[in-house]
Amino acid sequence: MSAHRVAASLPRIGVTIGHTPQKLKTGGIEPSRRARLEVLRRIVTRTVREERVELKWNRAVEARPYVERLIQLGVERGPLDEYTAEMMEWWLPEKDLITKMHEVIVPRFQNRDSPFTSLFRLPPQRLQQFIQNKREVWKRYDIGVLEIDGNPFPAIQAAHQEQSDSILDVLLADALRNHQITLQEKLEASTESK
Amino acid sequence: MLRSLISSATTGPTQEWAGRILLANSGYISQQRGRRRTLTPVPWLPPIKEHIPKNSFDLSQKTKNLLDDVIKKETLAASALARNDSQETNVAIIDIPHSSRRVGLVVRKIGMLPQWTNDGNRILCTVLEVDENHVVSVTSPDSWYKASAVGKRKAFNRHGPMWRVTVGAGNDDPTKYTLAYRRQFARAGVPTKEKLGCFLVTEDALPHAGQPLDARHFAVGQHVTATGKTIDWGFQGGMHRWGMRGQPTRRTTKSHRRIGSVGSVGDARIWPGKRMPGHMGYEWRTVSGLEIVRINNDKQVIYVKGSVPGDIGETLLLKDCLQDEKRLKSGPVPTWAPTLETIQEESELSPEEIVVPKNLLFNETFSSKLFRFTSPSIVFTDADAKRATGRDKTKAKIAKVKK
Amino acid sequence: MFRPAAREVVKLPTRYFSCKSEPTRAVTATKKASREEIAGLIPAFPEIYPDFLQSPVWNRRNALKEELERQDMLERRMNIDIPEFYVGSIVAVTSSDKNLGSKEHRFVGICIRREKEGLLHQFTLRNTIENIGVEVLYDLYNPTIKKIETLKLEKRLDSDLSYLVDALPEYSTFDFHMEPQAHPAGTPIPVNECKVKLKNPPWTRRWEISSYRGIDDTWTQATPWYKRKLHKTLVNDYEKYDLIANYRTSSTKEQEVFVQTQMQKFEKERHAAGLTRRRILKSAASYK
Repeated sequence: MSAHRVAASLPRIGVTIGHTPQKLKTGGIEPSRRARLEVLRRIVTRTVREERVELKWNRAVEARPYVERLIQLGVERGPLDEYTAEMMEWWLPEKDLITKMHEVIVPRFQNRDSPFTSLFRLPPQRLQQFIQNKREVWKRYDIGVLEIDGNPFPAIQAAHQEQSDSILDVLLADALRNHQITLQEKLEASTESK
Repeated sequence: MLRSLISSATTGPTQEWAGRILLANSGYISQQRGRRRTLTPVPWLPPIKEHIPKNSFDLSQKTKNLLDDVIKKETLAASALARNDSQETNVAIIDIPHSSRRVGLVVRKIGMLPQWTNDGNRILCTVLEVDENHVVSVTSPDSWYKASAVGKRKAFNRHGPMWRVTVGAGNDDPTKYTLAYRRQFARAGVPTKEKLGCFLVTEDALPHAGQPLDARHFAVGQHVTATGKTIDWGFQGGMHRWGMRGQPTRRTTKSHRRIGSVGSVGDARIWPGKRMPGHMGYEWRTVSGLEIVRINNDKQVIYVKGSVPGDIGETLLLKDCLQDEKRLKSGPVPTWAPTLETIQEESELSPEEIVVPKNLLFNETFSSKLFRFTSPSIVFTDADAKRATGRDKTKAKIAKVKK
Repeated sequence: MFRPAAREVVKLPTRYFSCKSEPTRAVTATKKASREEIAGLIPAFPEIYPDFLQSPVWNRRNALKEELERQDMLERRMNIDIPEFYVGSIVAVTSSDKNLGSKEHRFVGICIRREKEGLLHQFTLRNTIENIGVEVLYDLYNPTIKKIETLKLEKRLDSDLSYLVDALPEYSTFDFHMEPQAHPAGTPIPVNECKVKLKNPPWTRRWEISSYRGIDDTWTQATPWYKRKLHKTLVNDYEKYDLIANYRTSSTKEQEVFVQTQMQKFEKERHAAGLTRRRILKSAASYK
């Protein structure tokens, strides 16, 4: 018991985390819990190096909290902390990425709360799986783009523009305002009679 | 869209929701064919949830905020009106006749906590939350049984004609539901509810539609019956599902958890009803005779001694226990209302106890045998150890020799 | 399921909903200041108060239930002084027992386990009496407990000392008439780096494959049969790198700060009402 309190007292992660770990396809590695971590490690390493990666949707969802937690460890505990160093060393096997993490990525988020990453959904793509007897096997995949915020690339999503002058908007707002007044009267009447 | 948001109590055709809602009296089970349990709703009932994509309307942020505001106010107004109406209703604490059936509550299991009795015994309690319960509709026996799958003998049983009372629990965002579903709440003048449950009630204990139900509908010390769906375990083996013993760990291969023999040679088939691996749980179960030991009136929470079917977070139906010795003798009929609030407890406290001011504590009712955490540790005296000492059973019975 | 927030939505006045962006902006600006501890909060809270943490099972976390539970726990702590103690501390517990002549019973031992959350919290004491190891499991909030004393406040290398059951008896032998040793306030809790010698195998559990730091050299003691068996054993030593599995079962900083402020509020109310002067939220290491 109490083993779960190794990394206690960190703030919560601001992204959706499922209640149970999802199984991931582990091409090449024999499927196990270890293999799942290996797959996630590759994704995390790639994300830290490239800062914007295109993945199958379920893998992006699964890997996102790991990236978040790793950045959070850097932000909260700093490079000198023993536990942080151990985790960074395992999750980022390439040494230059640890330096990049502490000197480039973490300073961006010094005064910010989680989430530190964004996840966008792309239209589904058909990808070739394998060729069997000259027959090509294709499969449809949901694709997500996982990126670390503050990256140098152009933004994926255009800034939202607010349209407030449509006729529907004006009419609805007016109707709602009238309704609100009658409701308010009703509420006040009910509190008085009490 | 607008029409559907501002709920107008139109008199549309009566929608029949009975197949969807939790039906309390499931004692009589007719023969069922096909699948025993399914998560897919039946196709012939109208849908409840309506999916409107968030960005399907080009609205400005200001209007969206206004819309949220109006929806919240509607819920608030409906709640307040229902509460005001209930002030005028006729409620009284009376002796309940044997044939009478009161309405129940739709509750949610939020966890299990230990409590201690005054003699130091630990009891594990289930904590049940009564989340904004309102009566949604009251249907006469003639009209409800004709539109439902169960027969006439349920509506007119040996205790007399049974009205069907639908109770809703948990206020929810009305934009998530279809107009047809929301209409039943508009008709009763209550906020849109997330969960519905049905109870069969006799005429002498009939609440009116729109009446709010309180946790104090039940009293501390009363026994209740809880009905709900058990935990969905999925496909399980014979050892877990039926408690079979399995086979030895050694000297057997690949048969450690298998069920063993399933029949004899002569009649070469498997008898119907043979206990085998399969889907376990997610079935209606009823547990009766649960004692209420504590009620938190502020938070509308009931502490029940023992466990109830289902996982934490699941919805249950709670009603009076019908066992002869545990039946409710007298209580609020048809239900509790604020007019019944009286001051009783002042005299109970002993003078030397440090009295914690009322405003620092929840407004709670305790069973007399339950330890209150505001009182000091339990100290025993010689009187507690005295027990009826029988014969020492570890020693042989020896006849007394007369001298 | 019901939405937990449904009740709040109804009860709050509408003006709270009018502007959604403002509070978030304010939080971002003052984040660092609030992180670096508003006065009185304890950094080692989860260690000192493991009973106030959330359940490791997500399904069982419910704000309302935790609130009700916390109220009961704090009320109990107002009536009995529950001192700070850790796994590895030497603790004496006096409890009422109606079947004893003196009506109370005192047990002294080393705390080997603290488990479960909330009112369910339990701790186990171990001692050797007449060469027989005795472990007593207490419910922390059991009202028959009259007094809990920490005779020696210290930690060991592990947060679970279950292996003492297979250790030589001198490691779990403590004097019942031991004098309590005072811990100087404001100094860090000492860690007893004692390494325990185990008895010869067989053991109740395979201690050599778990990463216990407080056991002295299990490998040479293990029998050849177990050594051969290790090849077939699945050792999950990589599990500690699963950051999110860890996150799923642990509590968050926000929750800890929230619980502590609730405890402080409770304390303040009781002090203001003149009921008691007892302090609930305290720590020997960060005492001012």
